[in-house]
Amino acid sequence: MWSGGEEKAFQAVLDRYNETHPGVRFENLGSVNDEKTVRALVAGAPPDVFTVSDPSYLGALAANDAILPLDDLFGKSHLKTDDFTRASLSQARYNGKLYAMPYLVDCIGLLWNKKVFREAGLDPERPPQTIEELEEFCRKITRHGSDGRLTRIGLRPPDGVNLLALYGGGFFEPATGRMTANNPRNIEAATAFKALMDAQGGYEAVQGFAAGFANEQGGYNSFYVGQAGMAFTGQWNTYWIAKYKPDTEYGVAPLPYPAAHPERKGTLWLGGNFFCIPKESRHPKEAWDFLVWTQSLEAQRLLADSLHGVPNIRAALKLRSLREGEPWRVSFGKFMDLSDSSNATHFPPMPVAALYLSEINSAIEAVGYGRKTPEKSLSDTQERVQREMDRYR
Amino acid sequence: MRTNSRKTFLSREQRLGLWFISPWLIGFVLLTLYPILATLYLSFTDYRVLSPPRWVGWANYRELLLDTENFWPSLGNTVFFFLELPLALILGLALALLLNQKLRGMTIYRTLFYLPSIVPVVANAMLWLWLLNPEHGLVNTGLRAVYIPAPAWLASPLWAKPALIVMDLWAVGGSMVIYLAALQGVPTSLYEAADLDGANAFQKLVSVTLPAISPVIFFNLIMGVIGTFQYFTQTFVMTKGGPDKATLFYALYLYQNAFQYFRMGAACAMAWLLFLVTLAATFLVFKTSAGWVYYEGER
Amino acid sequence: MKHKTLSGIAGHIALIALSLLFLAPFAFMVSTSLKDEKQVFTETIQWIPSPIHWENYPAALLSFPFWTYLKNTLMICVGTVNGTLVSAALPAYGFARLRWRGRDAMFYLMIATIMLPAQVTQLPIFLIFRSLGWTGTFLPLIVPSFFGNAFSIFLLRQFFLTIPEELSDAARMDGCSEWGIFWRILLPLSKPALATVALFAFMGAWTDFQGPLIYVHDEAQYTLAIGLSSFLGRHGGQWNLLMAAATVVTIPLIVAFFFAQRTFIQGIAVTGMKG
Repeated sequence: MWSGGEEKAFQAVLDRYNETHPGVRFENLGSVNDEKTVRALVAGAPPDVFTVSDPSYLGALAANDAILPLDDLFGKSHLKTDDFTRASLSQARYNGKLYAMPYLVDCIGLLWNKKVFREAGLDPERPPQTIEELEEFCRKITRHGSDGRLTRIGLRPPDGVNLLALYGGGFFEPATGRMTANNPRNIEAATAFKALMDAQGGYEAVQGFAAGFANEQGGYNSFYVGQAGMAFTGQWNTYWIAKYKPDTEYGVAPLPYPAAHPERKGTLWLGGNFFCIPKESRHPKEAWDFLVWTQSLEAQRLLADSLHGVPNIRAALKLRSLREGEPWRVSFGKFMDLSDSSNATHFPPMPVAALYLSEINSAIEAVGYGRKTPEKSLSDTQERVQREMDRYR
Repeated sequence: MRTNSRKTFLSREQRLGLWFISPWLIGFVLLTLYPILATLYLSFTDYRVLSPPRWVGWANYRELLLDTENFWPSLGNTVFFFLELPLALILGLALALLLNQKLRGMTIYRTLFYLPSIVPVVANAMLWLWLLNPEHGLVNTGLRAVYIPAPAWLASPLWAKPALIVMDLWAVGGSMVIYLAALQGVPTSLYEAADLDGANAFQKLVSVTLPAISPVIFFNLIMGVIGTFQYFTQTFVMTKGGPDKATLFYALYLYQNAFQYFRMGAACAMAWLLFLVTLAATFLVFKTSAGWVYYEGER
Repeated sequence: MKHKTLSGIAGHIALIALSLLFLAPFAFMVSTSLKDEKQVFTETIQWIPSPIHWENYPAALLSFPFWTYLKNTLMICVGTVNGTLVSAALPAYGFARLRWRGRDAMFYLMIATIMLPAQVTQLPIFLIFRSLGWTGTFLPLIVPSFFGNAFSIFLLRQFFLTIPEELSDAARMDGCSEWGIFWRILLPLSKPALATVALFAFMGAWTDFQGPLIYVHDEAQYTLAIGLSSFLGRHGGQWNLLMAAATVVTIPLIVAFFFAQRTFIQGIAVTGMKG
């Protein structure tokens, strides 16, 4: 759950379920974020079924036996692996077992502001294809005022991990159980990150500038108002832009790939929302029934419409009602198309995922601020997380 | 030595005394003594909360001391924050000295300066997040108006901690009030004697005022040291440890270990280390206090 | 005794300048709270918004469950204040007015616990409450206050020490029990000190953040402190509403302070002085 508005939407979904399934009643206990859910689990007071918006917690929950593996139930139900988009299920698998049911995925792609492109002398219909082009575009778009301060940036600073994903370096080698944070591709990616930020006046300046705007949620997002030319962000923006600033002209594209590794073309970074059943759930059967229902076309459509996530059921991706109608749905549709791409990738589920992700993003930050070289930064991360992972043996 | 060898080994006075302090005593055993020992025990285990603790000996401590990514920076950040103590002391004392005069409207001024220290921490954090906004915040707008370069504050690894210090100094009214009360308790006879010796204002300050209120300064210093080690809410709400770990303070990292990374054992190890460090720091201040704290006729 | 260190006028100027500096953040907070969303982010600061959006206040209060949070916070505060008063007065009497062997040792032990970092006890206490099944309720926040707060005990003890022994002696000679002396003589004379303890306890509970953060998970049980912080995730962009909410949360404390100003400041002064 991301915010109050979405909670109401989720309630509507629950209401629908409650209506059509008499005898069972689901109440939304109103979670606000995963941290809170984790605290509730840690506190020994879990709900019967809960949602997770940040899949990096799944690994830890699974490794610590806090949630039920669902393979048996899955096998007995009418659901098939092929019904799901590949990446949505793979986020829920740990050690070969399925631990959660996805109910929508978030796809991070590239959004670009056509008006800004025009002003910068770039072709508004042509998003950057490669990382190198991205850097060049950033240079052209970035503007400084007469006092030397930034007045416009090319790319809103992305999460470091997104860039790593683009280079396909990977984070983990299941065969050896080793963390691979500092493999050569990741180092390339970290270097590219710094170059991107430097092209816009340096990481600190960019961050300071971006801090002057609201978070994503809200009408004053730097991308929406044209103070940033591009952003790595997700499908929910199509709805929000329509709501808060409908006159923004923008386009949706897959994330740029590094020219040196063309096989990475069409990469999308995925997050997702999942349902988990805690080990101590008092009504696992009813919970499972609810989970199965959320995979039905009707439920997927309801969820996608109210929460603005991309459905994880392949058949639902084709639903016309989600792609047509209002103009923003066309853009939403583009995200849907991309979500099943073979290069759609995500962070591997593992017990130390929360720590790992946080460390990687910090590592990239350290590179961005020029405090460490990419090699050192990522090697330090690798060591640190490896030591932590070793304790899980 | 027994007062009454025929009866129980606690004298009547003792029983009465213990009875009166029983709420605290029970609380002490349950909520202080036991937890301290439990933390010690848990610090030697790998405890993931969702599964039972597993004995690992010194592993947690070793891991922490090896952890140059998080642990040492968190300690360093917290120690850096000690800088705030002398600043707060000077500012608080200066304000108290200013207010300690027969000027009109003293109560109003006193209230005004004290007000910031009663703003709830969370509201304060929100407010300063906004004030320190590099683009639109009051602070930078003010700096730019007088042509001073405006740093990126909470977005800059270099300036994030100074930003937090500035925020804390705004709430210096709390200690100001203590100093004010102390100043008003200094016997006039001392000043009269100084006047007779021909001392000027500065000399009076250094030789009379400061020594006379030194116990209070000492008290504030101790509380300040202890408080700094526990600095949490502001960083949790405003920066979550960033940018680039610049505001990862000890208490925040401890919290992250316990409630985000499922590393309760490590968190307990951190807590015990904190305990020892606090003891050492307090002991140090106490020991050096003999050199400069002047008690007038203490029991 | 007041001591003149500066000439009157220079003093006034310095004070006025400093006051403005100290007030500026407040003013900014209120000013932002009354602005229209689009006017929040401007190049130059606008102190007086035009138009003034008074409706930001009701809007802010409606956009999150303010009254629920208020109710929760009040419940915790009242419980905590009660607990603190009860459990501070008794031990304070034991330390101040009774003589018994081991008293001073216990007292210094208690003082030492003030120096204890909260983190050292936080985690096992959390685990204790967890095994009792009290997480997710207010009990972990209220019950400990019934077991004596060292700071409050200290404050009351100092105060009790200032009450003349003769009163107690006279009562004892009349055959009054210790409890009787405590209840009928000491306490009624200690109203200002008790008020101070109550005030500090109230303030502590009102602004407590980490406590509810760890123990309260159901949004319906959030306190104002937590609710305010989740505001930032929720309404990322609406600083004007956020400032309005923050102002509303701050005002009760300011009001409490105005009414109890003298008690407040004296209380701090007493503890500070005897430290």
